[in-house]
Amino acid sequence: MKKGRILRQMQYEVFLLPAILAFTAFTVIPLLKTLVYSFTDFDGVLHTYNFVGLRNYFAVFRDDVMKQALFNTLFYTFFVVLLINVISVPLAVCLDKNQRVKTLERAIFFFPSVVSALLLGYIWSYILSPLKTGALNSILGSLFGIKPIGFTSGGWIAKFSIIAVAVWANTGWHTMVNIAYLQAIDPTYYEAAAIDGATRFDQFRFITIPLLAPALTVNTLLLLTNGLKVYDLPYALTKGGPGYSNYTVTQIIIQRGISERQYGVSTALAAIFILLVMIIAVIQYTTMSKREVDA
Amino acid sequence: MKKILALLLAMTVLLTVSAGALAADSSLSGTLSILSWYNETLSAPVIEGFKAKYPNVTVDYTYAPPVADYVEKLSTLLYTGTAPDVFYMALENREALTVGGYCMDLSGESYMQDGTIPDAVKSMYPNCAAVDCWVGGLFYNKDIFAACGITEEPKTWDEFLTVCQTLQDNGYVPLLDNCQDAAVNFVAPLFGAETLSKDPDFTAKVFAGEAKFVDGWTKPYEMLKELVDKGYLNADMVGISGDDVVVQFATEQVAMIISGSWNCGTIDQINPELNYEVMGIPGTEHVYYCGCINVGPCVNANAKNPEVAKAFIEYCVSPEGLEAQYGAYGGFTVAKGFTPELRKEVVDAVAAVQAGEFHIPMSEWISYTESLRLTFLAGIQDVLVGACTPQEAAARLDAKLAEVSAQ
Repeated sequence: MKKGRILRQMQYEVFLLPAILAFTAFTVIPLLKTLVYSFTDFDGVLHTYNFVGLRNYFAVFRDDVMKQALFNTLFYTFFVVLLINVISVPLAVCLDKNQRVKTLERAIFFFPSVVSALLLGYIWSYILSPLKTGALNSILGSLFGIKPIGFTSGGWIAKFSIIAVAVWANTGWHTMVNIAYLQAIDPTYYEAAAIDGATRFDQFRFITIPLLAPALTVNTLLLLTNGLKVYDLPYALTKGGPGYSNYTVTQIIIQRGISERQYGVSTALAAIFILLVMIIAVIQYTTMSKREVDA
Repeated sequence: MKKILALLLAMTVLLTVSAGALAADSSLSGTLSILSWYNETLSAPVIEGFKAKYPNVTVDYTYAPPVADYVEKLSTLLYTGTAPDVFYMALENREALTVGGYCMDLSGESYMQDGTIPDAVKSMYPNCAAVDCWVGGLFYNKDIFAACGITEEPKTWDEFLTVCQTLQDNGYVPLLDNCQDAAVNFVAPLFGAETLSKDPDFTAKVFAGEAKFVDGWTKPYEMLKELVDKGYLNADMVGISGDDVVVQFATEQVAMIISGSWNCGTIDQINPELNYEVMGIPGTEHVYYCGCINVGPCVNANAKNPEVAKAFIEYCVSPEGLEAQYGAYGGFTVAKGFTPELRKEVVDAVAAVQAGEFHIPMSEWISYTESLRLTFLAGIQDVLVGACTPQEAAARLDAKLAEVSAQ
């Protein structure tokens, strides 16, 4: 009886095998190799290497550029998560209304997320060019007589330019997730609230937001993980400059490892970063999931 | 009559086919894979010329933009054993290619022994058919100079500052620098003019621990800062690409830019009427240019099709191959067998580079080239935006060398 149940269960587990094999080959093994390399002086050229203990980990904490990259990544992630969530919820409510052109409106907002971030970065680098012939600067100059602004050349202004482009590109996608959850909310809640005298804002605050909590959990988790490993958009817009002021963790891992052939140091940073991402993701997921239950 | 005509026609066809067979070589066949940092459009004359000579060979061409993207891609391909038959050796990856034993030994080939490839090139790029050079310097708009009453090229730093001021007073943007390129910028040739001209072994001494980068590089960084402080260079230019710089010059938005000979074709395309010339960057006493021997093709030590790969290198160093490369990449050639007719804009620059009045840092940074190059570039950008002092930027090179040497 018990054996039969196990066999029945096993036939379903077989379907997981291809996914487990792929996950092992493309994620688990590279991850383990990364950990091994972080304790070696591997240079990416010779196939031989020596174990050096924790030397690479100490080097990470001494490296100012790596610390700067970590700050930039956390700064970018914090603002992108915050702004996209703040914008996408009301936008989803607006786009969920039964308007005649709602499909077109949704398509317009969704479109930027279809294009690759690298391509968007190059297009926006022309728009935000600090030269007076740059698209945005020439508009600002001709309309308001403003001198050219270095959107991608100043340390802080470049950081906010990157965040602005990321928010522009990704808000539509996360709005669609919110719309999907909004459509699952039973309309009778709103009818009952309206009969009880609740205003539109009260309905939004006490019905929409709590019932959208699962969507916010999913969006925040995706934005957080994508934000922490961001590379393409900041690189295409600024190449990490000026100096190291806009380097991200992924960029410095690639640069130290592949360009500078310091695989040991770069994999040590990668290992530390994986741990950090795991801790942040677990805290975020646990906290927000609890909100869902409460709601 | 018809028979005679038919006979003449048959003879003509036979002669044509024979002539074609003499030029083309059908003995080699298969696919030749190439990874280059020249894009396919730029390399077209070379690839087409090779394919015309070897009609049975198919070329699988891959492009990765220089420098970091190319170096990263090639490193990964080589380490994983998936590199193409032919790839290009650059200053930035020559040490890794040599240490890793990734290039086939070409020292026994005739072109390496008969003087076609000069000895100086062989020591800089071992087992590589580097045959062409590029020159770079200050591209200046002669019409704008004339409109401002500037009749002579500046020969000293003070004269150069005067020229910049004159241009600015007349309402022109005097200068744009390319802050994304370690080979073509103000600081590198100024290091040549200020430091190397007095001590040609300075960099060797640094690597031997007998000198510090900060002693030789602070002055060039200070001169860059002087251009910013006087308003001739704008800090915002760290956000623009090398392509933007060339477009600004070709459309006459700026009087002078720092650029290289490979951009002459782009300038021709945008504004064929532009009246310009290339001059050196004047230091306090000496004038230096940018320039170096260009990247060259090598054969993968584990090439899948080594005979075809070697045939490609042989074609590259042949007179027709040299001509094709000159047509594709510009500059001038250092190999025997072809003497190009230089563009008038770069004649003086080529003569100066041939006389040794040029500097590119990566040619002397034999070890840890990429680490130093990236640090050098970050220093230029930070000095421009005022995020660090010239001395701090120069000292970072010492710190980086100490860091990577300790690894």
